[in-house]
Amino acid sequence: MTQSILEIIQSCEWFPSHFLVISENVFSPLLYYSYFGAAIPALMVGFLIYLNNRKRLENKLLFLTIISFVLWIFGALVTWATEFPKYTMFFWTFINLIEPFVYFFAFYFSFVFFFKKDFSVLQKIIFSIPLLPIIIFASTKFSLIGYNLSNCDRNAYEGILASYGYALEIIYALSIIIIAIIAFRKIKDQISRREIILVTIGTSLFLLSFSLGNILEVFTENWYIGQYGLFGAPIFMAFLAFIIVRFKAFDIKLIGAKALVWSLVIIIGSEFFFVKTNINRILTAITLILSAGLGYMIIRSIKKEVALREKVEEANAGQKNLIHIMNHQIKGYLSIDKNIFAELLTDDYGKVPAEATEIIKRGLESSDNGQKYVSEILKGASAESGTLVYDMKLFDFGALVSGIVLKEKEVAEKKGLRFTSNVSNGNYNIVGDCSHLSEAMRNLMENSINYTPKGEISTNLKLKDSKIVFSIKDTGVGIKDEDRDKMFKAGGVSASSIKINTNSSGYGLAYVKGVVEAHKGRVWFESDGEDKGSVFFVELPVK
Amino acid sequence: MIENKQSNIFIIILLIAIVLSASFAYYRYMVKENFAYFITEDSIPDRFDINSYR
Repeated sequence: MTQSILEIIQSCEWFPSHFLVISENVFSPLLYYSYFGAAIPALMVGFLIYLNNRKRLENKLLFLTIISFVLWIFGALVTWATEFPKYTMFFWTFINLIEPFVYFFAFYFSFVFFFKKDFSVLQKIIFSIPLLPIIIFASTKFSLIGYNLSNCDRNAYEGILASYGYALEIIYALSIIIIAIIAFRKIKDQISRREIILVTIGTSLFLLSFSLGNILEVFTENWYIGQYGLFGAPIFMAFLAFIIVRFKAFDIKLIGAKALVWSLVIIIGSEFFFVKTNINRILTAITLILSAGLGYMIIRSIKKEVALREKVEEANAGQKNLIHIMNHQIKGYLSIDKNIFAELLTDDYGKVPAEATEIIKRGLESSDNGQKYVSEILKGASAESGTLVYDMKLFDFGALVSGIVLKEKEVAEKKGLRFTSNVSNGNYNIVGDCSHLSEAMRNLMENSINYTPKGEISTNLKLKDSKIVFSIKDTGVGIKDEDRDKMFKAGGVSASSIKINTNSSGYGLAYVKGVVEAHKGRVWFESDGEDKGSVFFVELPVK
Repeated sequence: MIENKQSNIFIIILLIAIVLSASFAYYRYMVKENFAYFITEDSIPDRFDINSYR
């Protein structure tokens, strides 16, 4: 460097940069530092994806795309921040070198992702040969002609190789769209087609916005534009998030723990830049090793926990499915039995002897009870899993409750129970499924009657804070504290109720809860304990 | 799952090429500081003119 050049550089009075990337030289600090926001999470996500399955080609290629993108960002940050021409020249060359690789790896990833196969040897050669001039001539004048000192903008002058690189980038980006179209036409599966569309949109928008910023920057020589080139970065992050969630690129359940551990390790690691004494360095190193070790153990234990939970969930789902299928079959058989018994009683097949009539009636009753029992289980299970179909219409909930109360009062009084009801004046119109709500309310009332050996039952319907509140109070068996949690769960039968009703399916209250919650309402109960009665409440929003 | 040695070798070759190329650039610009300075606007060559690279 000659004396005259040194004098020009000094006359520019550039600010010093720290850690290569922190400096007051940048034009738009907020936009500049937002690059970190794109780079750090991208790097973490890429690394986690790679670690999730190191052997999988898609993971490797996505990781390479992200790594080259992050390296590009780092190089760009240095060129924006540095006050040294040699740094500008080297990092500018480096970003010109790495930039086409971002596109190449993205193209390679897209190909493998779309066609579920690797490039053939010939394809590898054909698609990578255009990168050769970039690699060979990167450190020559063809890439950067020299450093511009005609103003104090701290920029280099690009050669023809840089323009070639931009052309190559556009070709790779367009190739992604072309192979996406080919794959889309070839693959008939709708889900795979949707995957192709989404991945293509994500990748193309990211790459094209990236190119556009860089190309406009160079050709207009407006360096501010280049800083906006990374507006594609959030798209890229969204694209990554999509890949993670949709394609389960890694176990999403572990991301919280992993992100926490990695952040901790990065923060402790960054301490090395600030500590001055050897003792502090040793302490930081020990802390870093301990944190990394403990973090590793935590992630491993969470991984085990997640795997165990998934196994249990899988087993539960299988069991639920089995119950559903079995109950449907049993319901079918019971229905046939019921029809046979009913047919026999009609005398269509000849006069049934008087001695046999009684047993046929018992058979009919038993089949009927069995069918109701199975239906209750099926409905309860469906309501709980949210698979019941509701026909929502406007109706008077007050009239519905009054009708059920009339019928159930009769049943209760036959059992020797006192039954009172109270309906406060008001508008009880709601939008809901009349049939399911009717059955849910009947379930609650029948429960009270069944589990109240003596005493009384009282129902109350009122409006409170623009909500309908129905309650049913009884002097029955009550609910023990230890049974509280299982009351509304499928198959949940309390210890006190089983003494009274051994045939309880345990699905009745699960059905009530499912139906009420599907109407944006809630159901709960209060009980002072065993043999102290209970009150069940249903709250529903008024129309 | 797609995984094979051939793609690994291909990726390693590409990475080695990048590292080598960047090393040459490092040596030229950072170690030797071998590059031109353009002090005036007029001295800046046209990138599309082949004479600029002589």
